[in-house]
Amino acid sequence: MKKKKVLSLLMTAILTMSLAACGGTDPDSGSSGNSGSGSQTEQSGADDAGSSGQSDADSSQGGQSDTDDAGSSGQSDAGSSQTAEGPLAPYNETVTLEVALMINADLNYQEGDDITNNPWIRGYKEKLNIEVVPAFTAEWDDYFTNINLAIADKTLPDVCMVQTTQLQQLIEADMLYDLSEVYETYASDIIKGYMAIEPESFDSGKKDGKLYGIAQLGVGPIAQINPVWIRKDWKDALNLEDPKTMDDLIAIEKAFQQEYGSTGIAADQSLTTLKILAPAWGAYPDIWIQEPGGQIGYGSIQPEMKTALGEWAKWYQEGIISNQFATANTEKLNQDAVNGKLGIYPFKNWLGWTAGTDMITNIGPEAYLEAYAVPPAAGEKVLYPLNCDNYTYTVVSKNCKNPEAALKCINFFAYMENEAANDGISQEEILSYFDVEHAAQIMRVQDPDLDRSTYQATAKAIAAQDESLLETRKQQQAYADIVNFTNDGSPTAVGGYMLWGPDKSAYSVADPIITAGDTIKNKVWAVTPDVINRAGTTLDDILTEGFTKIIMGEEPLDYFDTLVEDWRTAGGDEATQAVNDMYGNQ
Amino acid sequence: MKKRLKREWQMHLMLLPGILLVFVFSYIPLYGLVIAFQDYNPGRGFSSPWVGLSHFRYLFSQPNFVRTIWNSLYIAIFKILGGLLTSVIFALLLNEIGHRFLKRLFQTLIYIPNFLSWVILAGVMTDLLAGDGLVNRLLNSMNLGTVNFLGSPSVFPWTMILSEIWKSFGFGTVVYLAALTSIDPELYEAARIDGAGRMSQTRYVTLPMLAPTVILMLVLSLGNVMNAGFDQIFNLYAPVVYRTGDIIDTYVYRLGITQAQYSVGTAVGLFKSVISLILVAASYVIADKAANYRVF
Amino acid sequence: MNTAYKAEKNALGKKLPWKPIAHKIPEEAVPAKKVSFRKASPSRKAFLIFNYVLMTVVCLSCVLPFVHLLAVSLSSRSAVAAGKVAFLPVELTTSSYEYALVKGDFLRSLGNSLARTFLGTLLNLVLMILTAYPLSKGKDKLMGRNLYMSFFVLTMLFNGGMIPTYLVVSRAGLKNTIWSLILPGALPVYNMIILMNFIRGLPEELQEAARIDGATEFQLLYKVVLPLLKPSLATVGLFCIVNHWNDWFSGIIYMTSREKYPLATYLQTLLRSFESLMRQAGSNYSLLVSQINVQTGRAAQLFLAALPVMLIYPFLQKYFTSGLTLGSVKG
Repeated sequence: MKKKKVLSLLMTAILTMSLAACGGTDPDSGSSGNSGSGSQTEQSGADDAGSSGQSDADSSQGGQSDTDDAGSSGQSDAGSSQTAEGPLAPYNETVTLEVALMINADLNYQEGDDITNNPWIRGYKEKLNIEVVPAFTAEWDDYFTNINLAIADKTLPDVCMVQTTQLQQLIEADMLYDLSEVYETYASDIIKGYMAIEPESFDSGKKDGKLYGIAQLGVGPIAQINPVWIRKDWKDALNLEDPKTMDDLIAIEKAFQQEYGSTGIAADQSLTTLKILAPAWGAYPDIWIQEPGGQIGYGSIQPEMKTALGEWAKWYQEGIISNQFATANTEKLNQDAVNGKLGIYPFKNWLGWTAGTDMITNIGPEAYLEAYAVPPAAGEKVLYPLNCDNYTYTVVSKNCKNPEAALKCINFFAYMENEAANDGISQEEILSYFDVEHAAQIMRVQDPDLDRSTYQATAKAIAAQDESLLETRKQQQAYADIVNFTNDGSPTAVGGYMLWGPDKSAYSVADPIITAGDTIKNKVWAVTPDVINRAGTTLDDILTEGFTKIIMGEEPLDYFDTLVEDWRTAGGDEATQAVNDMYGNQ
Repeated sequence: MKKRLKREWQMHLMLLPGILLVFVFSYIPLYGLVIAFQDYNPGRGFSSPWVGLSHFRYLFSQPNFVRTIWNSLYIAIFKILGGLLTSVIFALLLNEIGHRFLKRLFQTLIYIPNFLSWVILAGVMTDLLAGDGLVNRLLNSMNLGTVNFLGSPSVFPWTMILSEIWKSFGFGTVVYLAALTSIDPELYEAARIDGAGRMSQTRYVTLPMLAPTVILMLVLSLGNVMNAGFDQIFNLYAPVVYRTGDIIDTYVYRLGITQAQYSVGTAVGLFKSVISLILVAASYVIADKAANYRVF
Repeated sequence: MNTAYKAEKNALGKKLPWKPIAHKIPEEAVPAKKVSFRKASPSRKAFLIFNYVLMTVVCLSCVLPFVHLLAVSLSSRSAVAAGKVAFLPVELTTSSYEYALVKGDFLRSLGNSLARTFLGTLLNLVLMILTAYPLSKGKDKLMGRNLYMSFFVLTMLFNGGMIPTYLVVSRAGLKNTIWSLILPGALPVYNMIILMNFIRGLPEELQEAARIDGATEFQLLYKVVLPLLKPSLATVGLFCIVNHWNDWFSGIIYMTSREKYPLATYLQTLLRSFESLMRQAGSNYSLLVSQINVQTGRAAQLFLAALPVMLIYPFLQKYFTSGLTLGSVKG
């Protein structure tokens, strides 16, 4: 099934955004009142004559301190804890916030809890006196469908999460609250610290200097480094050295083929796995890079790509990659891995949760994969491509009466993640929140250094064999996975082990790469020109289709030049122009 | 005029609820088609800026878009014709089965694939049709060589056509079987008295009696001639077969329709509708003139 | 002039333009009715054997994938991932079903689906009958008949898309009500046309007789036509039932709370949840999750969703052996 394909399309889609025409206003009635008035979204258009809130942010939030129950909440945050102005100060009177909630996976809820009633929702109420009422609840794809409909219907909830395209549409339609001041006043230092790490992402939520969307950020660049996975038991049994060059990797594959009947280095129809190896030849497909002449150009059409393709065509002929690759999808690759037909698998860091788990169950605890850096082909250093890590924004409707309440909820998440433990909130209570972390998905900013710091802390704890060094839920989980897998080879823990493990795990490979800065950033960052969005993936498809033919030997290597021509005329030139207009001379 | 109304008003009244509902829920939304000519922004709604035919021009200027039209037509037409033929043949064969229970059983079983969605079937098919899959092992054992069902541009469309026929022929068979069982037995009786054999009965009684149903189903299915089966192809194709397997809907999907590219999507939809309208109208006229049969 | 009527006559089978029983009729007449297998001629025997074998093979090809999927839905995740499952479950587990059934939401959404399907199909049938009957008349009997017809046919070919339809439903205040699932497709034109063609095939004489007796059109429809329609209503009714039952998308866009989801929507979102869980690296996997993967989850979804309709099917089937009879002349 093409789930991975859908996902990759989805991710491409997320990365895109469109700059449509400029818009007019049609305010709707936001429904923030004083008491929990219920969850009705549908004002059904007719009656929203724009009477409700324009930009008065100060209608009902509480006045001064009121320390009675505030003891447990935002006390620690330097300086600003005692007033309602503070990032975590509770309201005097309950403030209702209508939020579109995303259901992400509802397996971990305690009995009786769900997306509309869980530790986070209760936490907002108890600690901040904010009552969150759901505007609607939906899963990922459907969530954004519903947001699109809400935009068209002009019934945007007080707070919701949007993608880049939608952010632009909403800004142009003048439906969003200008959060510039609110952010300055209310965003906690932690949040501002996150944004300082990813200033481009933060700025992508702005238009004409005004802040409309709060970038939610990602878990950091470390998650984007894709390793080459190699079957440990095979490699050990054959006494093979770690691969230092591409030739080593080929030698390992040949040994695997001879000894174990491997059908080739994993390769699939979308060329995802091969493209992970491309930097070995200095090729950076799918991202925009600086050309020698100073211009920005597309990585997939550079001469280095041609070199890489030439090598892969040889591989195809020699059987280094399977002759069935053109129809294989990720599912097929995983199946091959589970059936012992695959020993080398360039893939994302989460392979452990799919193929990894199934290999352990089917073959045994020794049959897991180790991560290696992509070995260079010609001695030069390998750089790893990086994309902007921000896909979504938290936005507040123009008609929301308490926009700062959204900020407080965002602060609350960061507080629980970083500071709650120091404030004497019990570990148990914090865990109850982070077991259902995704329930706070709409109103949170992720720590852009989260995965890296988690890895480092966990590695330290493992080295010292000291569990007490672990500070967060995520670290504990990583630690537990490593221990569980090392001790009993548990299939449910191998995913965590292959990601967080102390040695030859995805992050143990990626961490030094990030430290050394051996990365190459996509020139197109956060905002994609409209012409590229309009083409969807069709421009890339021209190349993928042609590359496949070259690899399979149906076309000679020089067909590459024809292909580049096709790409240019189909809109590639236009796209290049637009990218240079937007990002050139920076 | 008045007299007619007086006589017919009840029938007009009967039509009223249907017309009202269709008007509200099908015709009013048609104003949404204007976004095919606009640069649509949901926030601005249907007063987004006009861009004329630029979305159409953009599509047709794409080197790979035109081939998807031909691929769509090719695949869809063979699916329709092949499905029709298969259904009729199976209806005839099934009709020859005397055992009532078996007949009912077969009839039920061939309908089952209709309940499977392509998302699910695709997984089964990729396993079955892989180079080392069951089908190819079977072919190999008969020394017929390996067929690259999903990876060869010349074979792929036929894999799509045949699997779609397999999946949906049960529906048509049920329809035609129903038409068969309702043929007046007297006609067969008369034929028999005239000394017709089974073949002749089929030729001179069954087929002509089946013709109106065939025409009806054919004309109705022409409304779908631009829909070559998105779910199926999307779940089974790969870049290597884009040349012959990429259809309008999959292409448009990759243009990013899911990501709020409503204008282009609507433009394509409109284009498809117009083509279908022409085909349905033409087939309607042909059925009327040539066979004297009115579908609508 | 009266072409529609010509068609009716044709359909009635009285006068066919294709020369039904023609001059050239071969010599060896086959004796009447069914001949038992033993007494059949050798060529007939060969044909019958061929026929049964073919049918069996084809039916197997239709059933086996289904059996395979059933086995997948009952197998463990790792066995499925390894491609070990054929027609019997490997490492039998009902986790995928538990995942869907354990939650109380299942029964509630099942109830929603039943209500929606019942109400929706009923409305479909009423509207189809009311529309198909007048349209089955010629344009000399119904003024503007062809205009009406094109009005309906056009909606089969053109549609405004998701957003405008959504806006209409939303402005009509139907969001979050069962009507938002029912009214937008209240008149399925495709099925209506099939039904209309059936009515055309009914003998006109009865209706004429009733008309002369002074019956109103409503009485006529109710007393004369409707009883003859039962079998074809069973057929188009089944199509409507299946449509309502399988439609998950309108639930997603029109229902804001999960409590109102019909079954198909509920199962769909369950699977989505699960898929999104799969893509989150770092999530902790409970034992349950380690048993399901997307394939087994999907297969289980298929069975939970399709089973109720599949159970209805054989019962309705006996009606539509004479369901879509365009040429029935029992009158």
